[in-house]
Amino acid sequence: MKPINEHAKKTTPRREFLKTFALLGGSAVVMSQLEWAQSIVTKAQAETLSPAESYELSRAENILSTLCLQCNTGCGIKVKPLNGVAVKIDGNPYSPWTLVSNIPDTTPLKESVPIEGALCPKGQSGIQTLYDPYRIVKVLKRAGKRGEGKWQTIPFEQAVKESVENGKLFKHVKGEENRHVEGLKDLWHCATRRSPKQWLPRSRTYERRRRLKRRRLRSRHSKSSSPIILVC
Amino acid sequence: MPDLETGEYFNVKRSFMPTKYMQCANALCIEAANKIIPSAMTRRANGIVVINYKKMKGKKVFEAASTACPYPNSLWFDEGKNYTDGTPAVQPYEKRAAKEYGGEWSRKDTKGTTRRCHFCTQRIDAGVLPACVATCTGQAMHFGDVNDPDALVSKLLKKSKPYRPNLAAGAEPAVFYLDDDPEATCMTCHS
Repeated sequence: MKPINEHAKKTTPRREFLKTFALLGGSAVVMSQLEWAQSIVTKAQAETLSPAESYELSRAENILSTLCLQCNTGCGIKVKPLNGVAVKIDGNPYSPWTLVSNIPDTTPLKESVPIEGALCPKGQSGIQTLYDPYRIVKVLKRAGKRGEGKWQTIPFEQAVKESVENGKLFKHVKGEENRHVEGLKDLWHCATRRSPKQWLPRSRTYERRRRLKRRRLRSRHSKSSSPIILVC
Repeated sequence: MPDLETGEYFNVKRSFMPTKYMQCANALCIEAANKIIPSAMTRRANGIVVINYKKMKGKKVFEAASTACPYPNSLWFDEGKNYTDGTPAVQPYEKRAAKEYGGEWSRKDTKGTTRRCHFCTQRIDAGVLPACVATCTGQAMHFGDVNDPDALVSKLLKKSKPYRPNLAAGAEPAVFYLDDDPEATCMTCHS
């Protein structure tokens, strides 16, 4: 099996991706909207911005159309970021969940910006969920005894690997140096059988056929490094 | 928000009344506040009352204005509290400046001032409906120019029986409560 970090090395690092993205954004402005952007800047310098122009949250470039997941209705929302921070959520007028007789999909963004759909308090409070100071944004692994409340952060890839494969996952905890933890791959044979009755030991012929099947599957995917295929 | 339950099981009825700043045509709070700090409160041409956050500071003005007002809880004092106070970090979305009355006010400016509903001046100026009107899932609120006979609000006012509480105080509020039968709902408390 490949080391975990190999995948991360091959893909574009996040910072570089952001750089390219920013450059693309910059060039888009240069090509199409230079005049408009310049006029905004000169107006701002002369302090003659109209109220509509000075209110950033009603500009099309400050609106992200997305889906609310505060409950499982999934309303269409528009999130309004300002200097990289989402500051307001409103109902999306294109969505039939938030505006009765929603506006047609073909409506240009410029026209749809001042129209706002309805959004319930739960959806409105999405910002408080997103920027909750106690929100856990990394995988936590137990670093002390159970109930001690000691945790350590681990990379996501490591969490996936450890949950799939078995091993002595809590070597670092006192008293659990030799505890063997089963992984999801140990449960694989249970999952592939259809009903709980079939989880019971099967006849020798069944097992022989199964072994053959597994061998065939393994040889077919011999080049793959996916942990799930390796488990078969 | 005043909230009332009437009747007995199983004919129980619950009525509530959202109260906001009424933007009165004859606002009594303006005089009371300006007596203590001159030009702390002014009025726009369209009738919306404006608070100058740089001037209207302190609890004294707030108390003078709120006691002069015939409607309860229409003004509130900004103590500069945050939702994430007492947590590991006050989040950046709370620190941003407020865009109100056509200006930009930092958190320092608004702390210790009197604040209230201003019909979302920043949104009206940009051609967007006030947030409460736009976001109400029951579509219970409407906003517009009463002097325009073609506006939706003036049509709705003609259609139903509008109710305005405490008219005897003479403030002439700009907020109307629309109800087909105010006797059954509004008058349970305001009789």
